[in-house]
Amino acid sequence: MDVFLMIRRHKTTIFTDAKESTTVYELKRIVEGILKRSPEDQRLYKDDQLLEDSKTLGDCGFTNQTARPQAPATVGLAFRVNDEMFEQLHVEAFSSPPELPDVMKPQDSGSTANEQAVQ
Amino acid sequence: MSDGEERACEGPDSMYVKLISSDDHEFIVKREHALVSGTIKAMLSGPGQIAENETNEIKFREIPSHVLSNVCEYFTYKAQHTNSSTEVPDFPVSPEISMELIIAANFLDC
Repeated sequence: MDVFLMIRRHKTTIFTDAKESTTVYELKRIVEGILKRSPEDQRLYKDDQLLEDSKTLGDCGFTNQTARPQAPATVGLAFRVNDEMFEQLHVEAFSSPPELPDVMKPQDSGSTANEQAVQ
Repeated sequence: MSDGEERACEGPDSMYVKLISSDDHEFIVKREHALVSGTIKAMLSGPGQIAENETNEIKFREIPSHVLSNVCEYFTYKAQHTNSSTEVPDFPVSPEISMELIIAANFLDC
């Protein structure tokens, strides 16, 4: 079954899909094609859990139910800094939506917008 | 090793395109998904050499990341369910972003 993913690192988000049977290593190959970093230089995370290359996405908890096209699952990505170290997993949050204007906030039905200035 | 490899984001035949939001978040989506938007389709495949055609990157100065991420999810959702005979689930839209989403959808013609 298809699973839909957002692979996120810092300010980059890759929208892609794969199968539940796709392995973590194959997903790293897809990232390699886009961001030009080899799989050995990548680490993929689900929440804060490091994913092993040999596991499939289904094994890691990405299923057709949790990773739908209109609500893809998030995979964290970190690159290798040097021979020994990887960077910290860090994902920039998206901007916050503005506060709802009063007229759109849920209100009891029956209230109107009439205001009478009391003097 | 990588001599014959397709350059993913470069050239007119690349498989992915990059959409950049007003707050510099980069969203990489499959080219065929982005073509759901009439505006993006025109930018990427119109006649003549437009800058976007070369680099496959489009910067949206008015669309913030929380809206553009929903737009990208919509592209995937639409591509998945078009011509599909299975039951199509609703596309969730939270009220906070609905205004901005309508403006973006109007601009993107999708």
